[in-house]
Amino acid sequence: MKLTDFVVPEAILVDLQARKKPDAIKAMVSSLQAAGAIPESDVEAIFAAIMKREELGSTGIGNGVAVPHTKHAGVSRLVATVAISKTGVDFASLDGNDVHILFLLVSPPDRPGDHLRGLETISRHLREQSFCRVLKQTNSSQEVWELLNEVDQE
Amino acid sequence: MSSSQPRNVTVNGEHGLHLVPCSLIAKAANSFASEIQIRTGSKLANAKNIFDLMGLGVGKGAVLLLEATGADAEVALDALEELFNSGFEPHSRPEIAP
Repeated sequence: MKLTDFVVPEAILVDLQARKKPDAIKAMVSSLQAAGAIPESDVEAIFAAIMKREELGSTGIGNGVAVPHTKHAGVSRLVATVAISKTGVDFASLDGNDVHILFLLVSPPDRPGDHLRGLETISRHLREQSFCRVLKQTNSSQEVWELLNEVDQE
Repeated sequence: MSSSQPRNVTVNGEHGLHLVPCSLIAKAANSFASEIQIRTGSKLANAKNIFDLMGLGVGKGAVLLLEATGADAEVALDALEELFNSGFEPHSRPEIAP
């Protein structure tokens, strides 16, 4: 699976302004809706589902990265967006640090394999410090998309 | 440095080794001094690194091999084996060794 298979380029946020977790998630879900990847009627429910998942344990997994996610019937395939925060978001991360790179995923409930493969693909790249460093330095959603395409080829 | 006999465990959870189990495994593994690795097929993960664990991408029913090297290798594998057997459910999680 490639990042560009499920990241929605029109939903990429390269200068996330939110400083708190709910605001960051809200911005990313709204961005997916504006890009047509999720129905407007499901935005509130998807936001609530993602926040509920966060109650089980923060998806701020360390290294300045967060992977908030949920399964929801409002999507027929795995969709995701990327947000970059220059100032950092308080995500109650496992290592206590703010996050600067966020991947938000929404997958259909009847395809758990897609969800798992999406997380696997993202982690495989996010464990590379060089990828995270370059991602944090991007200045446009086009640059982010080109970077994702580049690492997909590796 | 002592190595413990590797152990096979099965991933029981409906959703495979997703983020919650991965963070529990990493947290448990980091409480031990030993090096701990998890092997599946040709993939190898450092059990203390959540990115490594998530990169395994294993689903329900997968069989993993746990390996540990170090003074507390045996205790470490005991704890991780118990974690897998509990299915990572909150009510049945074992106490993690200090």
